[in-house]
Amino acid sequence: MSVTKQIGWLIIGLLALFGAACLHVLSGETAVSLGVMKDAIFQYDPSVMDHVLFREFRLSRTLTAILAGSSLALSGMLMQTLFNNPLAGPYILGINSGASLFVGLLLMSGISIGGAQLGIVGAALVGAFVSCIFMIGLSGYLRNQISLLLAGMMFGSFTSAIVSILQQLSGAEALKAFTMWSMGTLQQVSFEELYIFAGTVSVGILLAFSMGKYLNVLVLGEKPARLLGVNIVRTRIIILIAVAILAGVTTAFCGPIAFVGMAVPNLTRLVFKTQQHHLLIGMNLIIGALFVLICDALILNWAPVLPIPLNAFTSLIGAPFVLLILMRRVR
Amino acid sequence: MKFWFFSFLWLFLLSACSEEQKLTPIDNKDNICRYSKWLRIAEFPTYTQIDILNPSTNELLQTIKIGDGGIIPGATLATFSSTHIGMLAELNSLEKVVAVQDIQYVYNEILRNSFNAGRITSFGNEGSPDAERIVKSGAKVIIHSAYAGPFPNEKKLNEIGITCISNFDWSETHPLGKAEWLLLFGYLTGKKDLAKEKFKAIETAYLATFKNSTKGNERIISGNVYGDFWDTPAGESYHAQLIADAGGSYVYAQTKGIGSLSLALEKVVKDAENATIWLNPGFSTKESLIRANPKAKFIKAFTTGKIYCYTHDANKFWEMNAVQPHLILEDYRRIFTQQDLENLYFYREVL
Repeated sequence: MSVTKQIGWLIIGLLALFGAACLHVLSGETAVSLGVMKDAIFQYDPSVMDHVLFREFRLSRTLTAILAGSSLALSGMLMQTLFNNPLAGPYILGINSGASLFVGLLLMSGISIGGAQLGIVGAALVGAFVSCIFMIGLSGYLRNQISLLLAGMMFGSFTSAIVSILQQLSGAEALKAFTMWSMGTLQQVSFEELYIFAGTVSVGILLAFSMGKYLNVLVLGEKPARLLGVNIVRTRIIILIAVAILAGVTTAFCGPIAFVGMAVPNLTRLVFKTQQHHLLIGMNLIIGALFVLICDALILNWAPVLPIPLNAFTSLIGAPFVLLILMRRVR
Repeated sequence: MKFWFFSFLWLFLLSACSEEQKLTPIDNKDNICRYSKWLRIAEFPTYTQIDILNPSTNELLQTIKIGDGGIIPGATLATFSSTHIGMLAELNSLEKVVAVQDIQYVYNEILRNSFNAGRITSFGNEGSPDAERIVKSGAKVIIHSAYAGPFPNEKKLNEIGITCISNFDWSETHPLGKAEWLLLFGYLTGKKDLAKEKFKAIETAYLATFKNSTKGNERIISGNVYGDFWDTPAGESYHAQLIADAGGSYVYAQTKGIGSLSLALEKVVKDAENATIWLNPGFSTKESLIRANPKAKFIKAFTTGKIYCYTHDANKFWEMNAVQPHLILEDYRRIFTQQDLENLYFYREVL
C-alpha cells in the first residue's frame, strides 16, 4: 500500500473516530446542550451539576472508551504477531484473567497499596505481566495455534478457579467490591485519572511503534527474523512489556472487556491486507476505539429498555467472530 | 348379577371419595391472609389448605394440605433462604431444621451451634444439592425461594415423600405481606396460634410506627452501581413502600414495577441532586464504598448528606428483615427524622 493511500486511510479513520466520539458523547439518559458542553470544557465549574455530568460522566466515558478500545486492539495485534497466531488476544490468552486474579487478591485480601485506584492499577499490571511471561513460556512448547489457544483458556479457567476460592473465603464487602470491578465498565474513570490512563497507554503505544519494523519481520517466523538480524529475546521482552502495559492498565481501569483484543486486529488485517505494522498499529488504535465507542453508544441508547453490560455486549459480537476464524483455520 | 352390582357400587364410592380429596383453590372469603399477594391460607375442620401463587403469572402454582393425610405438622425442614430461618426462630422452632443452604450466611446462634455439633447439614454454596444429600439430611419438607423455578428434582423428591414448597416472600410488595409468610411456618411447625399471635403483634407495631411517621423533607436514594447500571428499588416495590411508610420521599417513588430499576449512573447523579440520605449502598465504610464506586463522590448524599446501611451485620438483616418489618420501619423513621440514631436496630451510619 502506498504512503498516500495509507495517509488517506488514516484521515478517513480519524474522521470516523471523531464522528463516533460525537455520537457517543451525545448518548445518555440526560439531555446536555451544546452551550453546557462548551462551558464544561472551557469554563468548568464543579458546583454546576450539568458541568459535572458532562465532564465527569460523558466526556470521561468517551475518552475512556477511546483509550480502552485502542489499547486492547493494539495489545491484541502485538500478541497475534508475537505468537504468530490470529486467535491470540489479551482475553483469549488469559492476560485479562491474570490481571483479574491479582486485582482479586488485592481487593479480597483487604490489603491497601497506595490509593485505592493506584493499587488496582499496580495489581492489574503485575497480573498482566506475569500472565504474559507464562504464555510466552508456553508458546515455546506449544507450536500449534489451537493448542496455545486451549492453553490460554485453561490458564483463564485456572485463575478463575483461584478467584472462586478467594470469593468463598472473602468477606461480603470485599466480594462485592471485586464483583463490581469484574463486571467491566467505562464509567468509573474520573477525569483526573484519565491523565494516568492516557499517559500509561501512550507508553505502550510508543513501545509498539518503536517495534514496528521488527514486527514486520517477526511475521515471517522466528528463524527468518533471526537470520535478518532481529534480536528475538529483546524484541519479545519489549512487546511483552507493551502488551502488559496496554492490557493491564485497561483491565485495571475498566475491568475485563472481552474479545476486543482478538476481533479488532483480525478485522484490521482483513480490511487492509497488509503486514506493514506501522499502518496496522495506527489502524488498530483507530478501529479499536471505534469498535468500543459504537458498542458503548448502543448500550447507552438501549439502556432504558434493555440494560446490557459492556463485557456481555463485546462478547456477543466477539465470540461469533472467534468461531468464524476457527472455522476458516480448520478448513 | 350381584357381583356386577357390588363392583359398580365399589367403583362409584371410590370415585366419590377421590373427588372429595381433590382440593379446590381457596376462595377469597376463606383466605385468612390479608396482606400477602402470593400466599393464601384456609382452615377447614380436619386440615389446612395453603395455596401459593406464582408472582410471574399471577396464577395458582402449588396447593399444600397440612394435616389429614397431607404434611404432618412439625415435620423436619430444609430451608434455602435466610428469611426462613428468621421466621422459624420467631416461632422457637429451629429444632425442626435439619438442613440449611449455607451455614456461612446463618446469623442465628442456635442454628450455628447445631451445625457445629453436627446436628444439621449445610449444603454449601451450591444452588441445587443432589437429591441423595437431601434425603440423607432427613428433611421431609424443603422450603425454597424458587428464583429459578421448581426445586431441582422436585418430582423425584415428591415421590419419596419430600414436599418442596416455593416461598415467594421476596416478591411481596408490602412489608406486612412479606411478614405474613410467618403463618406458613406456623402451620408447618404445628404452631399456628403462636404464628397468628406473633403476626398480629408485628402488624400492630408496624401500623403504630406508620401512624407516628410524618412526611418529612428528606429526599432518599437507595442502592448502588453494578457495572454500567445503578440498581435501585422500583416505585411499587417492598422497599419503596417501607420508605413511604416511614415518611421518606423516595426519588423513584413514581416509577412502575415491583422489582428493581437499572439506571445509568449519570441519571441517578442528576435525579439525586437534592437527595440528602442514601440507603443501602452495600458497604459499611465510605472508604470501601468509594473504592468500589469511585464516582460515588459526585452524589450529594455522599459528600454533604448521610449514608446508612445494614452491612456491618448483613446476616442479621437478611435473616430478620422479613419477620421484623416494624423494626426496619422504625429504623427508617429515626433516620429520616435524625432522632434517636444511637439505638437503630439494623442500620448504622456509613462513615
